[in-house]
Amino acid sequence: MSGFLLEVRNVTKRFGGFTALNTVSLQVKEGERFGLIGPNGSGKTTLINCISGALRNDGGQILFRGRDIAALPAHQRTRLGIARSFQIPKPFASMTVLQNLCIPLEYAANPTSHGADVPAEAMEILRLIGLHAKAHAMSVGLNQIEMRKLELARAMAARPKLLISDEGMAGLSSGEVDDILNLLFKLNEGGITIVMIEHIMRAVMRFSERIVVLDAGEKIAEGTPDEVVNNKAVEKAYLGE
Amino acid sequence: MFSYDLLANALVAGILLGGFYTAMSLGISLSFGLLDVVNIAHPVFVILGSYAAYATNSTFGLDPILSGLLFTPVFYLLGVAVYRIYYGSFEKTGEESLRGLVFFFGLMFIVEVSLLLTFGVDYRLVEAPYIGASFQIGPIGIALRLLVPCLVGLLMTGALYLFLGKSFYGKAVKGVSQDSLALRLMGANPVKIKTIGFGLAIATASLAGALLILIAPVEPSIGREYIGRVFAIAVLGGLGNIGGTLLASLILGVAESLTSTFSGPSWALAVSFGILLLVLAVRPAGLFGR
Amino acid sequence: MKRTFPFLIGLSVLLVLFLVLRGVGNRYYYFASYVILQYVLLATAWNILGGYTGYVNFGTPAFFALGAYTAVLLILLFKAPLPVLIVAGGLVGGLLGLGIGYLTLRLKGVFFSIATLALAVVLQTMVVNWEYVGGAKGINIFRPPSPPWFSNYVEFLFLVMGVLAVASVTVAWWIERSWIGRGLAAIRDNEEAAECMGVPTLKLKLLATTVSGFLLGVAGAPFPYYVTLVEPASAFDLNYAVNSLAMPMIGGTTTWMGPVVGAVLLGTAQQVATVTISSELNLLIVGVVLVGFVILAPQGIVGLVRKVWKERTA
Repeated sequence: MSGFLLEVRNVTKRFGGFTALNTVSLQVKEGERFGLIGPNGSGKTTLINCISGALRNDGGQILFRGRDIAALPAHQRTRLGIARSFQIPKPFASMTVLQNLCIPLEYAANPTSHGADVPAEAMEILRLIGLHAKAHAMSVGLNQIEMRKLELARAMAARPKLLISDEGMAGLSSGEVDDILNLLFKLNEGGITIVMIEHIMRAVMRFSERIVVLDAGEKIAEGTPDEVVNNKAVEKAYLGE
Repeated sequence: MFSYDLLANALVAGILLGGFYTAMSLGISLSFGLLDVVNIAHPVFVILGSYAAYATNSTFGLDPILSGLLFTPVFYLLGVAVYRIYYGSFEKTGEESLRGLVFFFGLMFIVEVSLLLTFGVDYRLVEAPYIGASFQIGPIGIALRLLVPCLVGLLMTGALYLFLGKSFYGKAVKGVSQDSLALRLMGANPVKIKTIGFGLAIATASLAGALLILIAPVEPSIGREYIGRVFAIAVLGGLGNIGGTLLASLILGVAESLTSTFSGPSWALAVSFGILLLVLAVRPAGLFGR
Repeated sequence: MKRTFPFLIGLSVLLVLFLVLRGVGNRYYYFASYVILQYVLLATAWNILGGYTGYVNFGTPAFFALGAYTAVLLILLFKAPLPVLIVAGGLVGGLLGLGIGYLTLRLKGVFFSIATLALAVVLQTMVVNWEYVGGAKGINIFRPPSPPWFSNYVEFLFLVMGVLAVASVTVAWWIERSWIGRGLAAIRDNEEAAECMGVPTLKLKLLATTVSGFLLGVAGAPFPYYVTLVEPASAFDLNYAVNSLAMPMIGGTTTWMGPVVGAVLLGTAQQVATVTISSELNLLIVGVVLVGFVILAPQGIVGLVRKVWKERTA
């Protein structure tokens, strides 16, 4: 046991002739607040897809709590404790907000019991996230920030050990960004390890204890927010020469 | 009973058949491969083309290939109309998977049954001077009614390949599913490009239909036999890859011809289905897929 | 008790219908009702995979005919009794569903649909070439003597099909209200999200295809005794393909009620119409109505009624 919750060792992912990830390695400690940044197209979402199981990596290992999960289908990884939210929200359109949460609660958190308390648990999560007023509204009728919150709530409903938030704040106002940020802080205090992918720099800087920077499929920097901000390679990646 | 002559004839017939199959499959490669529109009704549009050729042939004595060319603009407009309905009802709202499929299925029925009501169940055929004629190269007999469609099919493939590779609209159609943002930045409207692409796909059905009725008589329901074939070809060749479609057509044509010659014609259909399942199970990206 | 409640209600309705028909005494109504009940079964079976899970099966005739010809085979070989035919037809249908599913469900949904499209044509070709079960000419099957209390065998078949239809609707009802149904709905709404939320999408899809295939095969098993002349043209009839799709789409795909409503409405309309218009025109109209609904009212009749109800009570 290496002591890390998540370990990505030399992961490579190719699409035809295009290499999206090139021997990327990183480690996330249990309980950490971890940031993943990089210019557009640098491979952040691809990496998340490989970790969550939406994609299979071509090379390298992915270890969760010391166990290699690269061969597991995504739903089993979720049951082990990895949950993610999607960049573009993917609500279950025929269901209400509450029902949306019941799916991960039933399938990821309680896969054998399919307990009768699921709706009550779902309501609790909605209260935490501030969506309980909309519990019985159809999920497609929500506005932008409500959708983002629902994405996050769904990931929370899977009762994960590791929660990956993929650009959950894009397009939100400053106040709304703070809302989501506070929620993530609260979750982290409750013991959930959080990996945040974001373009909104002040959010990432405020939130993360450590940051990894990707560019063109490779890791170019790693360290605390201050270290990363002052890194020349990072500056070059974002601003060019 | 095996003989090398028989084998050689079967091979040649298969290649000629393959050249024709490519004409039928170009439309699928375009719509399914490049535009992500699963138009399962495409074979029935080809049959529509066959009947158009039959109608002008029996009424005016017009050569089917000529009539196929003449009707191409009409079929293009038909394709545009169908795509507009499809896009407005389904693609825009993102529900194209289930409902789009059902839409084309319903369309397939409507066209097929309309043909049935108009023309009846009897087989229809066309008359042209080159049907029935054939020549020999050594032991191999080449029937013109197979050779002409094969050549036209190859010409169509070449023309489409050039269009997609060289012209502005062609390149736009090729790229529209992968990068509609880039297209927008270039000033092209992705919806318009897709409409053009789909119109083109249906336009190919006109000539393909003319070729079909040259090879053999048609009746409204034979379109269904071709669904498995054209999708097997499209998937095997790698969706959207014109060159791959040609190669896959030749492979399928030869496979069917050999099966037909040595095991009987009724098993030919099973061959295409078998190939389809095999490709889907083993290498769904096809031979050259992306 | 709560779980078998709808089954008992369905059986009661069926019993009432049966007694009414007995009172009327006209054999034609038995034949017509058999067809409608068969469609309730077919539409319900189709909808478990189509409406609940979002995977479109264009090859209903393949499953139906497979059930029918399995029955023919068992009748010829063993003179097997009807219950055996039904179970065997179902098992074969279920296996076919599992097989096609296993080969194609790991890919995008359209590939499953394309495979089912081609399936019917190929199976029909194989049956046409199989002389033992009659080939293209078909084969004559003699009905067994009718059981006690029934004046003729068709009466009995009507009841059997009725029980099967009620059973299939009950199965659909169970699935819909269970955790399986919720998982299927998640797959239908957004498969990628469902997988990431812990839903074992492949396993559930295979389950749905198998159950659906089983029920479709069951529908075909009594067919030989119903028609007495089993030929590929009628066993693989296109009507099955269109109707098993149109009835749920028109009735409503998200609940067990939709296929029932669609089958009863459309089935009855078609039975009435076949006396007055040709079967081709009938197919054309179904096609047009189907396209109309899929464009304008995709939620089907049940969905429309619900919407109106909601607006009324809002």
